[in-house]
Amino acid sequence: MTKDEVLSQLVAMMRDYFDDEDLVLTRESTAEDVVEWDSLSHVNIIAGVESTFGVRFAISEIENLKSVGDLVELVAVKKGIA
Amino acid sequence: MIFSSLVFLFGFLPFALLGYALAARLGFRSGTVWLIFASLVFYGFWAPYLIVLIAVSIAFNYAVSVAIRRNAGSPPRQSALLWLGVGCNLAALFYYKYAFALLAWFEAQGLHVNAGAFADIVLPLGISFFTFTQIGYLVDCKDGVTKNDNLLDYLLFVTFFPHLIAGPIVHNGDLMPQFADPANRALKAVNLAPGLTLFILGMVKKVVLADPLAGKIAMGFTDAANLKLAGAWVTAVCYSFQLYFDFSGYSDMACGLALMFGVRFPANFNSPYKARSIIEFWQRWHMSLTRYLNQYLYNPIALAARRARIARGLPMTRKALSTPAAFVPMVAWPTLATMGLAGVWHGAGLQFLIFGLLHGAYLTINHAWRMYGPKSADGERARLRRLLSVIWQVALTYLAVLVGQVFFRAASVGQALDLLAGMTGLHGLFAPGAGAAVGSKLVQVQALLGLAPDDYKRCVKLAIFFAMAWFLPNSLQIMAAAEPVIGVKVQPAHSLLQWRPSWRWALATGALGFLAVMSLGGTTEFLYFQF
Repeated sequence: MTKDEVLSQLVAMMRDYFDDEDLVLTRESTAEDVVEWDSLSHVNIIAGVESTFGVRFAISEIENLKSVGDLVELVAVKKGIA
Repeated sequence: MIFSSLVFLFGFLPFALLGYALAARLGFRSGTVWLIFASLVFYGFWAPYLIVLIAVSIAFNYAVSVAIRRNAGSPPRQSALLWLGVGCNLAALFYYKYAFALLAWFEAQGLHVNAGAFADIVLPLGISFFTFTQIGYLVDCKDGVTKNDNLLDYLLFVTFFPHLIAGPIVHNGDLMPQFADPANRALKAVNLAPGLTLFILGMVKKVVLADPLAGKIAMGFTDAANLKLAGAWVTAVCYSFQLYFDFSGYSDMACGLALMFGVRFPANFNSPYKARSIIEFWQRWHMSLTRYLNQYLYNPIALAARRARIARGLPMTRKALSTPAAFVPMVAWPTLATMGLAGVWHGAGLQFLIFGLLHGAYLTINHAWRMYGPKSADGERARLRRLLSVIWQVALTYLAVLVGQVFFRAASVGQALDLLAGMTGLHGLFAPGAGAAVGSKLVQVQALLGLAPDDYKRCVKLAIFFAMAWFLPNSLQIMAAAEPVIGVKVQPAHSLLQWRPSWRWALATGALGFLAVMSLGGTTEFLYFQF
């Protein structure tokens, strides 16, 4: 799996979660860009990412995941993708 | 030592700054050692034996953190060490903070538990804060976020005096990179000037605005059962502004002191009474605690609930999570649990638990409203309607916060309920026998409402405080040019109120500082020192 594939799977998961097929997300997208991405949705998204990619995030990592790019990078690290 | 005391202002602070300037010249390590030494002097000034206690706490946590890092290859062993560390920290906190209160409660229920043996326990200053700081550090070590093994760095991180007693609650990751940067290791005018300005702004809030309210509030809460409607409201609102200016002042002073030493703290206070919802209130009030609770309590509880849901194969879309059956375990439970514990963290006593659960309930309702309430379309509304809805939201949020603060301040649940009963008119509107009052119309009206003769002055003052809290830029906005804190972006104040390193600002700040020093009465502690 490449980082681009992580990104596209992540976007697919987010579209599913927000129930919005037209949602456009790039690596630079942050919670502020998506109206419904509030603190509550953040935990939901984290849990969704965990199950989509079969990874587990540590307590200290969650707060620092501020953008889609951050999520992609951390998933990549956990999956051993360079 | 208290920031707003003569011994701190004219003794300790110059001593700490000058010593740091000299030590930093001698070398990097000397600067670190000096700051640790000065911080311990600061901490032990009134009660030197407390240094032993904090030293034990630091030594223990440092040992556990090293052990956790050395066992990076064995996650189960790391988890066991982490739980041991967290358990011992909480046990110490429990012993100093809750043991006597709990045993006394058992005795009041008729159980013989010898509570008297615990009556002499003195709450060590800042224990709630440095315990939290260190628990967070242990979790960060286990998660591999902090890798630095240096004892001096750890000592500096925990003891650095601007945050030691009442926060802001700092992360290792906030401070250590700043301390490690040699560019920060010297006294510089570019940091000293805005740091001192912010410190003086905070001191004015504390000694000129907050402290004079204390007498009225103490009297009002003690006499809560007899207060009529107006008196109960004046008491409660006075307290809401004492707490506001005390804590805002403390936060400014702490952040200003850190800045003088070239370090930026995480933001702690950002005009909370401007909040339009309870969720927003907690993003503006005691922000470093909110962040801490979010990270180390709410997220783990909420994430565990979601993992359990996924394990059962239930859908995780926003829609599926919006059903009432999902709302209770996914939103209501983590929120109430977190805020209940946050309440108890502030002190032993049922009133703190109620304070926490009340805010947990507020936040849950707020989340439910966002999910199920009518969706507002701000853009389509007329300006007047938009303005009215802002006023309504701010007022309702303030009112909800005020009710919580009554529990927060009261000596007992009964006292809080007494004051709230007075505020809802259950003790009557008018004072009996008020017709006998002689004097001007003003005196007579006040007597009729059951107010003290000089309460009208207080009401004018409170009106000014509301205007300040709602319409003035806050100190972070005024100091925006110096970027005094990290972790928050604020709209800079209007250019007239924008701080600049200029003679005009220096004179104004000097005058404010003079005013604050002249107002130093019998020095009163910061309200957050009791936690």
